[in-house]
Amino acid sequence: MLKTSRFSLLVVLLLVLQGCGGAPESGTPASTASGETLTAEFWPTETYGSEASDTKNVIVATYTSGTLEPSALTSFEAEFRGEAFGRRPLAAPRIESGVEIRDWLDLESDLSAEAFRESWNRYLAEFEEILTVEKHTWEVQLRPGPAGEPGIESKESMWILGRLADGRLREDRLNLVLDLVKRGDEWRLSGVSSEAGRTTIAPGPYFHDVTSQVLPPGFDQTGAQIYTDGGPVLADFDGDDDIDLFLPRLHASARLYANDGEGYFDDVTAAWGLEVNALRQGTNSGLFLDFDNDGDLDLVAGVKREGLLLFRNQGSSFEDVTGPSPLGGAGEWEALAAADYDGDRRIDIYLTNYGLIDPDHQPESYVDARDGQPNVLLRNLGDGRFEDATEAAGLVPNRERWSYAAAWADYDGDGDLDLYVANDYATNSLYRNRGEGTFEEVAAEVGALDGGNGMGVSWADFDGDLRLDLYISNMQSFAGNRITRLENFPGTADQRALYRRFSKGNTLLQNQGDGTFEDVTEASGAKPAFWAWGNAPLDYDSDGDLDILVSGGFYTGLRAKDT
Amino acid sequence: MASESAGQEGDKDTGHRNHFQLLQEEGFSWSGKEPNTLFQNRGDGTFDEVGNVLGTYLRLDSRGAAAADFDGDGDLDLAVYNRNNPVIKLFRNDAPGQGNALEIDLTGTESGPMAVGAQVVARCGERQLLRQVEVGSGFISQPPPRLHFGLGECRTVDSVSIRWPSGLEQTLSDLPVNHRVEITEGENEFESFALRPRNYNRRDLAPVAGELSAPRPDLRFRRLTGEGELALADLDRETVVLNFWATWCTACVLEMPDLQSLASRFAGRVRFLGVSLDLERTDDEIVAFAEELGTTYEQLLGTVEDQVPFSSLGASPPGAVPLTAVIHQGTVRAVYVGQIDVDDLAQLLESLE
Repeated sequence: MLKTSRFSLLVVLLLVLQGCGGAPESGTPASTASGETLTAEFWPTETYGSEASDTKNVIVATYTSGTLEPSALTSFEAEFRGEAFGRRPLAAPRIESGVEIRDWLDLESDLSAEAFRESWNRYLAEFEEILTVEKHTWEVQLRPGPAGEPGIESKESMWILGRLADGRLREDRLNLVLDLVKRGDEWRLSGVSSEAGRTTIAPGPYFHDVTSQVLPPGFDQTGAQIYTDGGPVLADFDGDDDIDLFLPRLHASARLYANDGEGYFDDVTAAWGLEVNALRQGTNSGLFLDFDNDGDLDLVAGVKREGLLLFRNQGSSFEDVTGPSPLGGAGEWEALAAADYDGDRRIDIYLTNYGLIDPDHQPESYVDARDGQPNVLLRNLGDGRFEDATEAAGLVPNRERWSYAAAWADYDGDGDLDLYVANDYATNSLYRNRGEGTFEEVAAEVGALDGGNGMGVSWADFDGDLRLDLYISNMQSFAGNRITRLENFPGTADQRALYRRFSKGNTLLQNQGDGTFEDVTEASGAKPAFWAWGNAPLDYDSDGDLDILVSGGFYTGLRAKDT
Repeated sequence: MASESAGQEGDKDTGHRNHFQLLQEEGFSWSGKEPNTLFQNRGDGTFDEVGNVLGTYLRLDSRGAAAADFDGDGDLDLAVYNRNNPVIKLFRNDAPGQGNALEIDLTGTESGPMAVGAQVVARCGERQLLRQVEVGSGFISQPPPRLHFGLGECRTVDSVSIRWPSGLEQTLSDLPVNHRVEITEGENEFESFALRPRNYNRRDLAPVAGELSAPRPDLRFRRLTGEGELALADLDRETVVLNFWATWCTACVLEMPDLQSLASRFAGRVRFLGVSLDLERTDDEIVAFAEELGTTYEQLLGTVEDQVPFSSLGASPPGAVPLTAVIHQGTVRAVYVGQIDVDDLAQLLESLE
């Protein structure tokens, strides 16, 4: 069996280099952008950081107990120096939709271990009850002690969610720098300093999980294996004016739910004729759309490794009109996005296709992979028939990326629909519609390449200038940040920047109105959202501007321990 | 899936296992238990992350997500798809203090029936909002083709301009807020349907705490139709109906005439008080608004915090309005969340006499 530490290390390495889907052999040496082989010696910081976690957690533990006991001081160096939690406001608090946000900076100070303990406990006492504590390490650098002992400087984000005496919820985001030094087998705290932080207070949660109230009882909610993907498919398929739900499932039967008009759902899979072998397993996508132009919504469902199934809405049931075999054929099918690209009033469908998911297959590059399966544009011929129009439409450049998501919009206001495609392990593609049903790939020239492990994309006007901007979900990895920020991470400055970018998080590209985009991610505040997959622009408070829900997280195992 | 079954049969002795197998065997997580983030727009395309305090922090391995108004109350609820169990989660939006809303369903003719790619701009005063019809976006998800416009305090929509994919530009004016509107390409007549009261939840409609016996909170409110403050402590010998409301709240506006009818019926026996949460409006505006609705009972100014002691009794979101509390001789006897049932409230008030 592999030892845990080595295993973690491999995972970390993968995290940095690999993105979201591939699965190289464990024995394969990974190499960096500069071609050097990476080995464990390369990042002792990961080992040290892991070894020191109990010591670091001394501080976290105080949140759950509500106080830092004097006995904890054995984890502190005698010469420990810490900063007080004075929280000097940086600006007046902002209040939006009842949520109060205060940015602050801590007062510089130079406290002994005992004085730090007191300051810390005073701070904790501001909470009536602490609900959750979350800690992320986003940078670790080697800082040997005075006598050459192993030492690290560890930058930690700590998020504390608690309840105040008046019942309101408060979240504090602390950015702490911990100095740690190893004495024999033990790690000890030699310093704690604080960078800027933020407090967010709300009257209480605005969103309530109503799943068990509104979905029928007995619904099999079993999850699935590691590669599972999919998303909700929402529209009024039965024409009764409320929003219904189709649920694709990779390892179980797809489900169809009809809304009763008040947000409660009935399972109508069988009643609508979808309890069929073709949907027993393997579906991961779907769209409600009117492919036969008769005014009701039909359904298409993507089946992994098989292709697209067509179900025609017959008024009170769906009829499988796929024909002899699923459209598109074998492929690692991911998203579906539909639009009438050629102006013939019939809705066409674009299918993204990922790289082959197989233990023996990994992308040829982690930043510029071109060995995925080809994406496909299906042109609607009417009457439930489609033809592969990918080549005729000129959607050939970059069609063999490891593509995850696609979305249509007329971003340049010329009256036809353009297509954005988000790719894993590579830059993204923007196909500008020339107007006669053919496309040119313009992502590079208009500033829309992004570059990251692209997973989801939405067009929406976030800044209210009546132009559609792009929001792209990418991978944000704390481990990736740590490794790529190491002072000895190999490669040229450009290569290092490239690798950093691939673990940085989401991207917001602002439409400039002249056909080009500007990357406004850093100023937008919408960058960090973990291992992000989905993104849904929505005006949750109906105040006119679009907020964004980002859904994510990759794989949760049985143990709490993460990479 | 083929790759997974192949992986599960991998040879443990040779070490030829992929890392996902190792993850599963060793029980490790890889970016596991990560939350779903909610970025709140400051109004200019920059954002604050507020998911932890607003309840979106689902720590499953989420994949696609989409927003839709499932309960027809004019705000957007959430559907989140997850790799692990449970595979789907639905969240109801109970945000307090929401603005007015307009929902639009488009039917195309020359543009094809779904009018995919139609761009719609709603205007209200200075405010201009762009939304587009789409079929498939985000990560492997389909938000509904129905468009949602949050309109803040706007009480009517000056105009809606539609750029249909066919090239037709169409403008409609004076659309009602808090309605769903059906518009057909090229037709200037439209159909509209009233949305439900905001934060509608059919399970909340009954009085949630009819047999309550909780101590009255110690609150003081500024009088809007008079001088100085009013303290609940001074009313401990009376029966008081305290109605939290706001000018933007449709359900509040709908029930205020009912409250007035009860105030008249129980005149001299029960004191009715309105508590407006409209901190953004002037006193005169609030009073004029209440009078326009025909109410004559006294109006006070309150905050979300003032409402919390009652909403917590009624298991309702803080700040959600309308909320009506009945206080009898210093004891909270009932909390109604959502629009009141007149007969029910009348019955309760009679039983207290």
